[in-house]
Amino acid sequence: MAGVHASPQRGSSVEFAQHRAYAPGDEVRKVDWKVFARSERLVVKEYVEETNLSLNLLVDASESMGFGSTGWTKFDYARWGAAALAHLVLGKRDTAGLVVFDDGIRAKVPPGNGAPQEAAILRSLEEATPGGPTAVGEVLRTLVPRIRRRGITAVFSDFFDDIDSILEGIKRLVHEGHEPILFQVVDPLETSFDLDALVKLEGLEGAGNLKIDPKAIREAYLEEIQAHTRELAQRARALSVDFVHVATNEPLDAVLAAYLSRRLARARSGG
Amino acid sequence: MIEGFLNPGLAIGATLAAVPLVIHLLNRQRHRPQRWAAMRFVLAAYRKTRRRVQLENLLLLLLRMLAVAALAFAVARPFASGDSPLVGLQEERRDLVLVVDGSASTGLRAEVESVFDRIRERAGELLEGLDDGRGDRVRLVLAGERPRVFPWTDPADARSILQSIEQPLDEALDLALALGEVATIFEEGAQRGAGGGAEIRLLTDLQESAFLSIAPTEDSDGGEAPPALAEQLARIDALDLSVLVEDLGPKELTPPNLAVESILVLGEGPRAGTPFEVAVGVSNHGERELLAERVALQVGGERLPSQRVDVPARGKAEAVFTVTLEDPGYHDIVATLEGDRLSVDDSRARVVLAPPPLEVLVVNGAPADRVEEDEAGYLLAVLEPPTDELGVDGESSSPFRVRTITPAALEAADSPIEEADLIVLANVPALPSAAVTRLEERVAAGAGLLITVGDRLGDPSSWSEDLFRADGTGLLPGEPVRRVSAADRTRYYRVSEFDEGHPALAFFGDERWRPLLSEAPFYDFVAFTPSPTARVLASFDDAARSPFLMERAYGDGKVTLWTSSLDRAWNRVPDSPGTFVPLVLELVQDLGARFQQERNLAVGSGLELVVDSFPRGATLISPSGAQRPIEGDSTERPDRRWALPMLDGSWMESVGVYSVRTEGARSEPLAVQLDARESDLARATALEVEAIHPALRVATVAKGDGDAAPEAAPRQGELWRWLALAALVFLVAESLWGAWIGTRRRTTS
Repeated sequence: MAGVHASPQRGSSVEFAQHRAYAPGDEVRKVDWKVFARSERLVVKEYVEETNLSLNLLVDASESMGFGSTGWTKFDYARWGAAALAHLVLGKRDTAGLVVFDDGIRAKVPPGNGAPQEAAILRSLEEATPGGPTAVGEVLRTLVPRIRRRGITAVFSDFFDDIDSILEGIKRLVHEGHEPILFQVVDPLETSFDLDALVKLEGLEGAGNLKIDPKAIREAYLEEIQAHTRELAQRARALSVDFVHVATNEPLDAVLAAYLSRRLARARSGG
Repeated sequence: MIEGFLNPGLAIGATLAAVPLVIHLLNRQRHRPQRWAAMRFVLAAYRKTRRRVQLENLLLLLLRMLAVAALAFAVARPFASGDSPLVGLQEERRDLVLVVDGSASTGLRAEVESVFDRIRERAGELLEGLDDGRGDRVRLVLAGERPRVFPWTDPADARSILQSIEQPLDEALDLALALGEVATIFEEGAQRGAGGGAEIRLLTDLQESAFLSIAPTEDSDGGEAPPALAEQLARIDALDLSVLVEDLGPKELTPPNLAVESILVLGEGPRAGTPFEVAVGVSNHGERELLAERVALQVGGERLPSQRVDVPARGKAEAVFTVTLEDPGYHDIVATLEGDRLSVDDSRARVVLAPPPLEVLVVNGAPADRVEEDEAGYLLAVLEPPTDELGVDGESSSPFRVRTITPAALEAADSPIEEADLIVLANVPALPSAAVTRLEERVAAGAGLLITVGDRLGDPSSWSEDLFRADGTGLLPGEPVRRVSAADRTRYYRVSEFDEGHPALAFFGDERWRPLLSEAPFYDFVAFTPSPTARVLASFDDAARSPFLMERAYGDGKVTLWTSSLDRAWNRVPDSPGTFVPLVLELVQDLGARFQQERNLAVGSGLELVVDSFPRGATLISPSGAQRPIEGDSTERPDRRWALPMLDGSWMESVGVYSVRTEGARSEPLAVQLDARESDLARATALEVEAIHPALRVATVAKGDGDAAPEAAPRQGELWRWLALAALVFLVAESLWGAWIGTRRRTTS
């Protein structure tokens, strides 16, 4: 895969990308007659234009990302994931940039390439610590106009925020021609709620405290968090946005490898 | 609602119901802190489930608290009665107090079985109607002179107790005492919070003397309730209880019964070797005259020829027997009739005492050959008549055994002072101190001392130096002052006043015999000033009202002072046999009176038997022949007799002759006698009994009848089983509910 990245720009190219229904004005030579012969449907071929990739890494550093029950906090997992992607992209002489945010931009490394760029990104990730409230959607809306070059925008967050606000920001990205990838990083305890004793939950980001019997509300809690994730995933996919749900107890390399493989396979299959 | 608790103190345990609440509240403090990022989802879930979880926990807590409270209340055994809405839930348990008339009259045979057999049978029927499994309880009271109260038992144990009581008691019935015990049982139960509703049944022969106090007057038939019985019935009534009286007596209102009512010794009393008369009193309690009823008498086991008497209806007759006792001491006499339907009163025993001769020691201060001149001549003539009637075996039948000694012999170490019951100092000059000391010891031990004065006294104050002490420790009852003499023999003093109540002088209280004493001339006497402890029995008509006779108690004995001479020297009393003989004899008998113990006892009475010699290996033998060793130490009395350890009344509950056997001594008889009232079998009517108090109701029960009372027997209103069941239900519900909640909370998608 060295030096070659798929561009979301559709145009004339040697690599077939996908079929599209024939629209008046399309060049006749692009019509796929084999398909017509099989199905009597007029479709045109679209090809992937080979170009250089631009990767924007957005890492949520709000206080909620500082939660961890496995020895890794969600933020640790997120920044490692971001670092891994940055390394992959920059290693292929593409460009990558970084934004660390909570309810605003905390740190920024403008897109660039080469080893110094990677060093800057890694340094910025290392220096960041989770804290502050969450406002994913707000940050995305703010960031979109400032991203000059279209490319892939990978967002690493737990997305424990209002879904509508999040999706509004995602839509902005999509509208501006970016390709968002949502990495929802959660802690396994958050998804299992496997607490035995009576607990006094001390909410992060000023969410308040609450004494509960976990067993009494577990079922309802799981319904809530799963519903949130499910809705987020569904609405993201409806925007053709990749949504990757990952727990901090899952091996990062396996997660990224699996995702990238799926993405590659999808690209090759034209889907 | 709940009227009270049988164990009120345990009801406090209901406060333990707060424990689950306390645990719940304490648990709220024990929450482990946990940082949490996904709070929005927790809050959403909490809001959604809050009400349901609260209700679940509240229900669980409530079930736990109710279980504890129900269990505590069950243990406290609450009860309800009357109008309480919980009456429908109360225990059906019955508490029955069964008062069984065990008096002697119930031994009356009515046809084949006795009244007591019927009472036992009826009691058994009532016990059969109880249910062990339901928790029914019985308290048996065997009523007699004193009630025997058994503890609360189950019906099975009560049947065993009943079976062990085979015969009625040889006692009359004290119904007030028995019902008093019953009232106490329930009053104590009420104090502990026990509910009412128990049942009291009296199974009796309805004997009139037990229910009514018969005080016949001309205008009334008698028959009022004794005050004590009415009092006890009032106590029972105050507890909202009543006594159901079951009449199990014979059909007749006045069942016939002939009884030995009394055995009396006629005349002065028995003396060994001298015949005396014994009158056996026989009562006919029937409505028909009884002719030629045979009365037999046994003395010390030997039968005398029987006699026949006619006894009028509802009347009495006497059979008089002449009895001779060979030996002095206590003897048993048993009178017997031919048997009738009530056998316990067909014989009666009595123990009589034929006292041994009184040991009289006369210390003659002026002996002489001729009776008329001998100081003690006339006295000895009275005590030992020369032409004595010989008793059995040629021995004298005189009640006195007299020894005469001189004052000098009194001082001798072997003088028979310790054997004397009575010592007479007749005109004895001053005695040495040692002799006086021995006299003091003997009198203090119970002997009598008669001191008479005369010309041998000399100076009265010297004479009385050791005999009189101002502190009252001397033998004399007064201090001698001087000799008083009439101017000449034409003048004399007389006894002007005397104590007619004194046994020695009672004879002269009869107007016919008074002059024998009051007219007897006295020419000389010694005037004494009586001590504060002295009792003046007779006084002269001198200006100072000087005493003629004085006495004082001294230890267990007595001292009498005769302030003139015992012979004719100073007075003419010996010249008048009509005066001298009864006066001297009564004085001697009074002074020489020995300890006599009542050996005729009521059933159940105890006795500390006194015997003459140390009792070795004492054993009590009952009329049936059963023997019981008498354990414990005997104690020596001041009169040198011995008192055995107390014979408990419970050892002598049957009528008849008992004897106490000791090693080396003759058996000592005791007689236990039936209360004569028990022989009158006249029965009260139901109306008379119910008129005593509203708390008494009479039912007549035929054999095999079930409950005599038509209404349902009162039930004890306890609720504990329902509460125990409720506690169990709450516990099970709590367990199931808790398990369901736990399962639901564990199984999540």
